[in-house]
Amino acid sequence: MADVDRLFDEFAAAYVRGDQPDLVAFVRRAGEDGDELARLIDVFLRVAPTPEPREDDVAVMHARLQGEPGLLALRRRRARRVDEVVADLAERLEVDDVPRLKRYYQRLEGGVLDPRPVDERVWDALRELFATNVRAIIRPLTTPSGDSAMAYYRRGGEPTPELALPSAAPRTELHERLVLSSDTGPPERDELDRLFLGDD
Amino acid sequence: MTDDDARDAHLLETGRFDRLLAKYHLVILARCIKGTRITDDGQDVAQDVEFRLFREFQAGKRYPGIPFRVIVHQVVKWTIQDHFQGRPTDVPLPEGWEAGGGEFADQAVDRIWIGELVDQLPEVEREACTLVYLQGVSPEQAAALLGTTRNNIDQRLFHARKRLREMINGDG
Repeated sequence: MADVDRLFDEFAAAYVRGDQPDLVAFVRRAGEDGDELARLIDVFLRVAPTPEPREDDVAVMHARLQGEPGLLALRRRRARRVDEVVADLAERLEVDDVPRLKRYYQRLEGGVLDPRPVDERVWDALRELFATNVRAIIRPLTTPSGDSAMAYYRRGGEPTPELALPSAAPRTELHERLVLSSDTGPPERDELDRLFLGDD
Repeated sequence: MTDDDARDAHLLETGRFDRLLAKYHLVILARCIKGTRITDDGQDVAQDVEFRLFREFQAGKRYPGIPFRVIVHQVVKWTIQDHFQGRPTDVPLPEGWEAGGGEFADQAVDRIWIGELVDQLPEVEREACTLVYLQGVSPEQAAALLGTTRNNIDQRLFHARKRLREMINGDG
């Protein structure tokens, strides 16, 4: 239970500072005590004053409500081209195969790569690059049936080629590329694959 | 209505749904994770809640006189029920809502209940809790304000959390 106390304090301190702490990461860090931590945090959030959101968070929410990936919106807000981000990421992760890294990054940015197995080093690099907690804003795109890419991944399948933006949002060239390039990775994984797909 | 409720109402009337939902994102996510008891499902349900609120309010749905924070909790509750009963979560929200009773009263009771729990803490623990958790004062600043040490504040918070957890679990 000591870990739950420590994690709760850490979460509460970040929240009252006006940060958007990564709730999912906190609950996962609590392991078997995740339920207990979630319950404490829920009670806390019902009584603590709700801070005004940061402009980054508003921009990410705006994008998501329009059916656009949050990380894409954040990158545009930072006025960074994808090649710049990938070059920076390659340097931080010491990756030589930049074209393949770019494909992984674009899938992650587009919400069509399951974020759960992505290595901590990638999240750390992205946090430094964007000066915010990127993991907390990654969400899957939704399918026409209302299912999410994340739900599809949880069923153990490959992302459906029907992955589509909500009808209100135009299908972009980026989206087409992301869907077409989605796969579960090569049969034998090298270090770069493991950074984004995990060890399985 | 509090000042915060009035600010929310203004955002709602001016169509700033992105700002409003960004503000309540963590509240919604925490409720959904607690309600589903599964982190992944909680994330999916939270997304459903946000889209549902966005669609409905953009289309003009309003619940006059009810603070947005209360509506959020009610829509989370409806959406979790739909989720567990296998019903679609993209159906329109009910038109009417009995603001003087029912779930609205439950929310008010919740807030009173939580306030009462905090009030039941011994004074030294209540002071520390209020300063650090509710007013955002750092433990170091709380120590200075209360004329004690950082270690003592940590101890007070530790005992307060333990007591609150027992009270919450006891009331089930």
